[in-house]
Amino acid sequence: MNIVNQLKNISRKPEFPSVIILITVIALNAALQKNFFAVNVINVNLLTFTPLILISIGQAVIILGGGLDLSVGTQVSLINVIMAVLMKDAGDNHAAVIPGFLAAMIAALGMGFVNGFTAGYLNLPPMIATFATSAIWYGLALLILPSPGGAIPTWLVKGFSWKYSLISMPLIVIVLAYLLWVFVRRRPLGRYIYAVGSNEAAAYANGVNTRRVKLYSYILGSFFVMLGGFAITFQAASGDARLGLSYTLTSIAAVVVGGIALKGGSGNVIGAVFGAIILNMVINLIYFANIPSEYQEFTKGAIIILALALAVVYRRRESKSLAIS
Amino acid sequence: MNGAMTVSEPRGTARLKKMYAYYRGALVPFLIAIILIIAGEFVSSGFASPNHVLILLKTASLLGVLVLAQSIVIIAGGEGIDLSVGAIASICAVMAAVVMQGEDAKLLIAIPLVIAVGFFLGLINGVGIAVFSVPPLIMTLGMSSVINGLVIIYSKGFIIRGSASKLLQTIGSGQSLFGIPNMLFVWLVIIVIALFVLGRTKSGITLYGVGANELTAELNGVHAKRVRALAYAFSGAISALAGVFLLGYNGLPFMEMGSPYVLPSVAAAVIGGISLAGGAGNYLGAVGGSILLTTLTALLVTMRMGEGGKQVVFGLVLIILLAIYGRRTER
Amino acid sequence: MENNGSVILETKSIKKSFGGVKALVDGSFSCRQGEIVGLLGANGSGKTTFSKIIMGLLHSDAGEIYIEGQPVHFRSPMDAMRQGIVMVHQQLSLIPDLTVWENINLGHEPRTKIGALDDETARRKAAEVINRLAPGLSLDRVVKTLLPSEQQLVEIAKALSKGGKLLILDEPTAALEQTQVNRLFEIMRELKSQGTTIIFISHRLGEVLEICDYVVVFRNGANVGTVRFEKDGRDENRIVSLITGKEESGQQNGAKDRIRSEEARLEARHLSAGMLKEISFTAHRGEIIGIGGLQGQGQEDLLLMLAGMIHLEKGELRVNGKPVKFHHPADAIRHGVVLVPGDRQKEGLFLNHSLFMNVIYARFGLRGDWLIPFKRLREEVKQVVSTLSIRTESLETEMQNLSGGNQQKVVVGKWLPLKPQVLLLSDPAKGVDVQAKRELYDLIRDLARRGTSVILYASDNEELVSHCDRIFVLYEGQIVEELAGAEITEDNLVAASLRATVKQSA
Repeated sequence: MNIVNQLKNISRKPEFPSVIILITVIALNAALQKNFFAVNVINVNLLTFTPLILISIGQAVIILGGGLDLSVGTQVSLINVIMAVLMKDAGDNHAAVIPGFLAAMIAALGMGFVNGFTAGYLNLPPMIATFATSAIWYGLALLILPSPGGAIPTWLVKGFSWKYSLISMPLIVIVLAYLLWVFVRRRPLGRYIYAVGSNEAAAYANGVNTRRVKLYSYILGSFFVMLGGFAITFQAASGDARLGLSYTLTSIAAVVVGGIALKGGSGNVIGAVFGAIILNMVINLIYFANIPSEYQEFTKGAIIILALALAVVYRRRESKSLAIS
Repeated sequence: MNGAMTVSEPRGTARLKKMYAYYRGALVPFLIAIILIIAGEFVSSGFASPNHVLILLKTASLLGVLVLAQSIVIIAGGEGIDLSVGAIASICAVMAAVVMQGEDAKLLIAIPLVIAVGFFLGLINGVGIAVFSVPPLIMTLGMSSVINGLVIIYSKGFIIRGSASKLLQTIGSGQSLFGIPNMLFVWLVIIVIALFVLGRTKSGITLYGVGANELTAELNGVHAKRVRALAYAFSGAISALAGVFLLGYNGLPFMEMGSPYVLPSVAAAVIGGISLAGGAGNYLGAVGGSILLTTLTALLVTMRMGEGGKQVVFGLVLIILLAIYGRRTER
Repeated sequence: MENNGSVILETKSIKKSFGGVKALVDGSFSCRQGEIVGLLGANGSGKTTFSKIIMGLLHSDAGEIYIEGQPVHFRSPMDAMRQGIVMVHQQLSLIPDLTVWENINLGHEPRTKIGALDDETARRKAAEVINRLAPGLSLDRVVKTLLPSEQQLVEIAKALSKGGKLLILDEPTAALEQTQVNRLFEIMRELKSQGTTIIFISHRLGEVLEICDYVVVFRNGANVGTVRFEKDGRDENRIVSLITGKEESGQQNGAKDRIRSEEARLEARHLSAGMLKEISFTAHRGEIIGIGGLQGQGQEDLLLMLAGMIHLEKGELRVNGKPVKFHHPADAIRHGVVLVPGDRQKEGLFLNHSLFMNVIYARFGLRGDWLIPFKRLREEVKQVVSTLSIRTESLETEMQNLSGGNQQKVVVGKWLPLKPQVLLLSDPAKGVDVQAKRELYDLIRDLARRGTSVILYASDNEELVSHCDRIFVLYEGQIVEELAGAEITEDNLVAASLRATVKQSA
């Protein structure tokens, strides 16, 4: 009786469907890739999954707060080119990478601030406002680095792929990032993000400073996006203004697949992590299924649309209500 | 009937005044465009010469057709936006080139075919948005990556074989009477048709109503979802047409040739006073917006600003305009 | 005994309008410490607007507010809460995705020393209020899964847990059962004895008489009078006449001068959909049928169903003897069944479009005319404007610039060119000034005289009584009683609405 109830409760959790899909995708991957569970295969997979996981956490925080960020992709690009340009000549001098990190961090928080300001204080619709800012970030990235180039010191690249058995640098970064979110959730801000995303007017009526909460959710989101930008930069080891572009749509898809409502206020950030892993593994499947490379772009797009449509339909059936009330 | 009163019909100058009031919003972008052209003359002489202005207008016409596609879905409301106009234009340009293979005779097959394809792709957007309630921005963004993926599949990443026919090239990049580009005549016809359909027919007025207030439209007996889905379908068809002109302008098709127009198409519509809230604004303003943006781009190029600077300026212009027009109503 | 506590809240001639609609013309008010004040008034009389302004949710156009003698300017609810003002909102202010205890603590979460959320204390605080107000309600339920009455209790509990010296309760009992109301009153009396001031907004006169020290009545956005029970006694009639603004008690039923026909226009047989169950009636040619009962018993849904907006689950509908199926409002309109919806701004109008466009839009549900015959339509719209005496500068005036009454006339008037067979009206006079109201009802009666069947829902019983041939009383989605002819009086209607509640609970 108690166990049945507990199972029922678990199945009602918003990220439950994504866990089921995750298990399925892992099983499929394991079937196609013989040594899928080998330590170094796991580490390699995790390394490639890290950027999307981190960026999706950022997107999730923003979406939970009732927003949306279409500029995460170009934020990654700008962070990437800033680092690649500023660290180009750092070489083995460890202190010489500090300006690069600092500049990237200032840029990330600045971008989060601008997005949050337009959504919270200027009251612009987030979709279109972040669409506009995404052009600005992209333009800045192109201004800094018009064609691919720049470089990241090798020791940083190596450092990021450091591992000891199953404990690897990417895993540590993901865990720390998630712990940061847990920390935020344990403070009023965390609850207010949910409250604003769920019903902004009601949160306001309860004395929540909704503008500030929206601003903070974007800044926090951009911080996670920055971590994702670091991860992708250490893998690419160079700069390219187009590097981040595809992450915008993919991160939204990961969030939706992870059981977080696009309208905000419901779902868990861990779901976005699952969603990101699922999407990456599906892309792995495409690779293992020997689909010619030219089909990949199409297949990715199709899977994302399908995932979005399914998630929306699933959710709508869940909360069926009359059009007029 | 004690309260009976007459509402006088405007005549003569009053009528002109009324027209002025209706199109007043559309005037501003034209004025700014003129100011930019004059300013350009100071940056580089010849910028304001009749020839250069005609070139600017020709370039604007290509954007202008895509802006029509964009405007229709924005007017249709529900956070309407179509980010797939560029991808649809690209794939249709490719298809048209492959079908016509440079032959005028096949133009008559190619054009209806790609318009049908554009309509169909747009309809998929429309169904996803109106029936399955996928947010328009996400639906069309996803759609554009699917369509661009299709082009990659077709071309296998190599050059696409096919080209615009002579006649199409003449339309797209040639000129006739007094050196006026042919494309401008085409655009003029499109503008007249668009203004007529949007402003004087049941289809147009219905669209504005659905965009302004879906529930009211529905209770007035209009199938709002159907109207909105069709708006995306027509947007697709017009994007396809834009793709054909783009092919005529360039002569040869290439991958993602429509992509650079996506952001400007939204910006031009917003500049032209088409409200992102839906149900308001007219295409004439968006025409002005297209000319303004094209002039701005040319000016930036003259000032040796690269792609990056252009993007930054576009983004800034869009966000400033949004802050002025696009605020959500206060509680 | 006159209360001699200090004045907590005083407001002087607060004004507020929305677009062209004046919601509050003269909001003057004052109350002292430890009082329970009833704030009464018909729908649209400005009570809720008034309380939202005090709460800092809306900003007044003019007027002054004093808290304990100090002038204040609340820019947001935070400012009001800092002054100890707490409100229970009619449109609940709950976060649907959070749990009961999270909601109760929202905005004033207890924190640990390091600034983290102290959920244990928060739960304890929530449990304290919930145990008194709604024993048995689990603290961990997510609010969107609760019943309406449970949500209402959480909303109240949230306000109570905040403490505060002034508590505004906007229609807190509408969704509650008697035992729940009793528990609430017990707590209110206790708060009063501790010195809290309570403003109690309600439509239920009985409750107001029971719990309040005195009542203040708002009508058409102004304070029109105070009834002090100590001095004036608990005089129900006096309060009612203040609310309605009518001294004459003899009600005229306008139906009497019409000849009724036995020709059936609309026949409903066993209609069910959503909360509506087994609705059967016949509306005859030229008849005005009223839909009455307490608020929220399915009256609006019934009209939406007849208009094709809510789908029929069971039953049969006939128009002029022919069976019809409405899948969409368009089907209803083609059969001449048209609706004037309850919320004219959200459901009836395109506020930023011209009057002309709003009127001609009604024909787009019909087939034909791809090319719009502007010339002919201008004449038609001019006709509508003059028939309804709509006050407008021109046909191009945007709807949002018209007054509420004229807006409503457009919503009704747009259907006239279609010559409707059945006119469905959902609270057409809500927030409409007296003259426009009279003109509207003159038109409706005129339409009926020319053969249109009218089905009218009005939240104001007086409107039903003075215009209807028959009145159906709805309770929980069913027709529980029918009044006709001489039975149609306001007293009978109120009695019938209340009888339903008694019958059901017995």
